[in-house]
Amino acid sequence: MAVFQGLEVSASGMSAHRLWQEVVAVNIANAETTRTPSGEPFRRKLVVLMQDGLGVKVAAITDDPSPFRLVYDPSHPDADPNGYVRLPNVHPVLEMVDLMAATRGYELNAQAFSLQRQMLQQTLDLLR
Amino acid sequence: MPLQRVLRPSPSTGSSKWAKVAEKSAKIPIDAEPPPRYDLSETKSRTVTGAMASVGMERALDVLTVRAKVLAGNLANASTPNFLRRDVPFHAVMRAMLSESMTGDEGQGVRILPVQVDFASPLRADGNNTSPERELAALTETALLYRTTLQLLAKDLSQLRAAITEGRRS
Repeated sequence: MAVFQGLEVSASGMSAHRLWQEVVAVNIANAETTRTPSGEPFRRKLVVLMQDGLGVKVAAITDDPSPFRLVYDPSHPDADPNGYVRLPNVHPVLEMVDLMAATRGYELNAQAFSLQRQMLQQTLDLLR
Repeated sequence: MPLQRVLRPSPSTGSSKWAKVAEKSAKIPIDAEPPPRYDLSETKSRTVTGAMASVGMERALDVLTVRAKVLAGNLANASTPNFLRRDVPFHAVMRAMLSESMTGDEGQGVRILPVQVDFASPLRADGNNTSPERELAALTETALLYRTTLQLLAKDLSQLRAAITEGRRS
């Protein structure tokens, strides 16, 4: 409905940024995961944001192709014959920065939502 | 009547008027890909009084609503790569709308609001040129203008009510 389209736009921004936060949480949770169904260590996940009308949507969640971290740890069950373990290409500091960006984005959209909600509310108050 | 003269639109054909407004008001060019367009043809004024002020305020509310939508879209896309910010030139659009009302030229063309894509603002590394502060400031400005206009309109209506009830409380 055209009247509430502005709210939908802000809602799309909120949900996209929330999904981004969730993906960051997945990355942090799997920062040390060496086994996945594909047989490789966990690969860092990235969200791809795409414009959708006036709003935004998550077009895809892709793998970060950057190389895995190599750590020397012969006692690790997944170490190769030389004693090196391939750990996920997740860097907690980067993830925290991403998390902040996602959270701020969410807050911005929540603010925009609230401003537009006020505008609608004031319009409805004309009826009183 | 200097005011009338200033507000009178330059002679032009109906539908190309908005394109002209967009051109004049824009230091930035219109997007190559067609930008989202908003049809205001249904929101022609239907006030009881037909007062010029009410007409202007209604139009202002329409434009401000669309502007809020567009700015919310900028905020939603604050992290989208290669997104260029959009805006509705409120003052230019209002000036054009009011000049039409003043001269009684309602025009037959569909009223389309120009949504301008901002090519002028500097790009970030990801090809996006939105700025959260700027969008939020513009959105807040829009919301405040909307509120002010709405209160003026409410005052207008209450005056009408006073006239209907001959000044007694209804």
